[in-house]
Amino acid sequence: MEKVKIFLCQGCEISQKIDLEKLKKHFNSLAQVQSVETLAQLGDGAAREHLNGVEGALLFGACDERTHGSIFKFLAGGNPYQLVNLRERCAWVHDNKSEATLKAQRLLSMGLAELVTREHLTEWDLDLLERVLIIGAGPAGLACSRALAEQGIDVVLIEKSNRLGGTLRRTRTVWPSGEDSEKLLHRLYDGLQDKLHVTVYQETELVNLEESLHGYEVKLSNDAEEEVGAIVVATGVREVGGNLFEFEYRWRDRGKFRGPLAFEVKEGVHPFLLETAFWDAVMLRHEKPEERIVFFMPESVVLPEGFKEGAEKHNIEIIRGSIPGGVTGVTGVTGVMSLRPECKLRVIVKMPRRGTGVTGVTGWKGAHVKLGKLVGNLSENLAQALRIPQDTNGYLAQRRYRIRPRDVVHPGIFVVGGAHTPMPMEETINHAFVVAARIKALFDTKPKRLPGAQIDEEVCIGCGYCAAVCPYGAPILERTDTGHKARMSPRFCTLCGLCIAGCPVFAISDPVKSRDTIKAQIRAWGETS
Amino acid sequence: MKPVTHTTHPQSASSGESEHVPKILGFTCDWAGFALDYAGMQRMSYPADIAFINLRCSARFDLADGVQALTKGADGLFFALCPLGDCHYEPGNHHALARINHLADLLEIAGLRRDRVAFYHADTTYAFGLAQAINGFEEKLKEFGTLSSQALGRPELVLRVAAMKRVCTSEPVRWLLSKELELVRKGNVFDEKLDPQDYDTMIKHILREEYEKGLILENLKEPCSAVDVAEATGIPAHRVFELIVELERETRARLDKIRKERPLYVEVVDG
Repeated sequence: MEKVKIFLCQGCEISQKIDLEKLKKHFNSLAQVQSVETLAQLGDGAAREHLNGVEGALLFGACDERTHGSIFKFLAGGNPYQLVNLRERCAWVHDNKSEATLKAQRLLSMGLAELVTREHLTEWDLDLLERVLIIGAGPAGLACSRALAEQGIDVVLIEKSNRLGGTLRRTRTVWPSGEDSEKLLHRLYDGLQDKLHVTVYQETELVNLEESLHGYEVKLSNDAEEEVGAIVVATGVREVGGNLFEFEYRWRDRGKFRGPLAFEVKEGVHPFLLETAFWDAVMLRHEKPEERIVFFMPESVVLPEGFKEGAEKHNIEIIRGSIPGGVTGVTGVTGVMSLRPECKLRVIVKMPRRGTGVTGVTGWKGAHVKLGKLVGNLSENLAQALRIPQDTNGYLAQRRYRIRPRDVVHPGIFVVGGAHTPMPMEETINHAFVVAARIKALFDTKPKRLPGAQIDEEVCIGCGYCAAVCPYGAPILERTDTGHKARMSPRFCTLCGLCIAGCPVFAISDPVKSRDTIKAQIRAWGETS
Repeated sequence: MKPVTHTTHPQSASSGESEHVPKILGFTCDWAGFALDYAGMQRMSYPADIAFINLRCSARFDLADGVQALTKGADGLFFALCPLGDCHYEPGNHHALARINHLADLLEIAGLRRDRVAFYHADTTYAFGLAQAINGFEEKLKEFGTLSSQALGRPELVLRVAAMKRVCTSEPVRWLLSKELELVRKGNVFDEKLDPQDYDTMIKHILREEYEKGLILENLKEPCSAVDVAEATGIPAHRVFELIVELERETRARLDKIRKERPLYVEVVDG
């Protein structure tokens, strides 16, 4: 390693609180150090001129990496450098000059140790392909593809079913504004129609995903293979154990049934379902002023604001408890519903009808709608392939929600809308636009990344600790002839160091702050006195 | 324990104070580092004898690094980490906390105080709390005295810390410590979840045993009999013999020779 040149800043009270001459004397006596210079203000024009053309490893004793980091990066001009914070971490907090000087000496020694032991890192260019795969053509997916297409980014939109629209196609009204779903859907759809950049694959699913040089190589179920720079997961929610969505979907056929209507509410129901059912009830009340409309729900269900008053106003009963006698044997009818005249589709859904399925004397004699549970729509395999953790309801975890709520899960993988958790429609659409903007920003900024942690295959014993513990799924355990070995996917590694510090055999190394660096720093700290 | 002036500490000697000035090594994650810088901007003073090593996440902290800091003269270790649930690397600070706890356990087992390890959950704006925590920790350490005063002198301390280092770098121990959150929360291969308290008791038991083995091995660098080792380490002779038998089974120690009808054992050095 070549000798280190040290530059100390005198500004910002550093020279008043710290005895820089003493530091100069100390570091000049070290074998690793070539020269120590103090400058009036590191980072101003004079210093820039002074440092212009300086070569070799540089150690700066100045201020904060976060506020002034880019200046020092510029000053170093491609040379390996290390910035030690003598301002916030020393001069500004310690009043005693001799103590502060000792601490500054410690900090500089530690910085020197880090600089000397660290390899010179080259950042890795994430040369991303400007093409985006969007999984799910629900409101979030449609809005996101539209926003991306408008910015000239190629979009591949895949949809599992044979119709676009997702949940929005199944519900009559938009939650919570109460707007007509079809209108919103048409708006989203029309915006997408004349866009040149969108490729839509219907009845297609993501089969496999692999990292590639420019992003991800994805394999689709229609045998198409695409290379994309970013992936948006907009799989939304689905209803389990209920038929409210079907009821809403067949809303036009509501004239076919007569008789009382029961809404059976289960425990832990989402307000989305409850409010949607309530609007249906109010609508039906206007059309059938005489019929009985009842919500059966357990005690534990908390009613949304205004629900009880609204129910009283519209003569809708709320009974706490299950339906006496239960309901059995609801039969189905077929019907046709079309979003647009040119894409008619025949669907078979179960429609609650009067008189069917009434068996017992005490059973419910009338139509019956069950409000099920909302769960995430992304399969477990896909979530694993995309390395996004799921909770028990299948929702994709919102990472660092409080810190950066809309941020990327991994470079180039985004989650929008209901796939996180059921959310109001405005938020979903807004979310989609935000993500589109982020993708554009990701492509435009040409991000660079540091190399990820490396696993020494010879040392690895294949215990699986790193693969189990990594929150980003970067290390994968692979079966080999002799057992297991861990392999690192550098794109997913954030260098947090969780696996590095926990590896039983010290097989994983950190290129930025290696074990040797930390040891050298501790040694330098201990030897300074 | 009575505070003893550390003679090798020039600071206390030069300033002429009878009070011992503790040397604290801090570890901070990049994000709790915000709080440290913020403390600087707010000009909150805290003792100058603490210096921090920046880690990207507190989970990067390795037990072995902590023990190394003790060998290099740290009287206490301080950790600044994100508040629980706000870690920028998901479960990072839960793992870090577990490791900090193990280090404290190890210190306690070695007869040094577990309070020599302290941590503070510092959000970006928690500068005041952080400065206060460091001040409080410094006060506490002044009360405790130096590390070597607790271990009855420097050679004894070196021995104990060497034994601790053996524990921290031993593969089975590291494996078990790393598995904590997985075993307690997710369950083992049979889907049996361990009770956190049971796990804690088990870990302490294993740490103690490994520490005792480490002490014994430190004394077995030269051929030595079980009775002599017992005298040197203060562990009862029958226990020493048990552990030596176990070490023999693990091929970490072997019978060297028999002198005056007493078997002498020696450490097996790899390679």
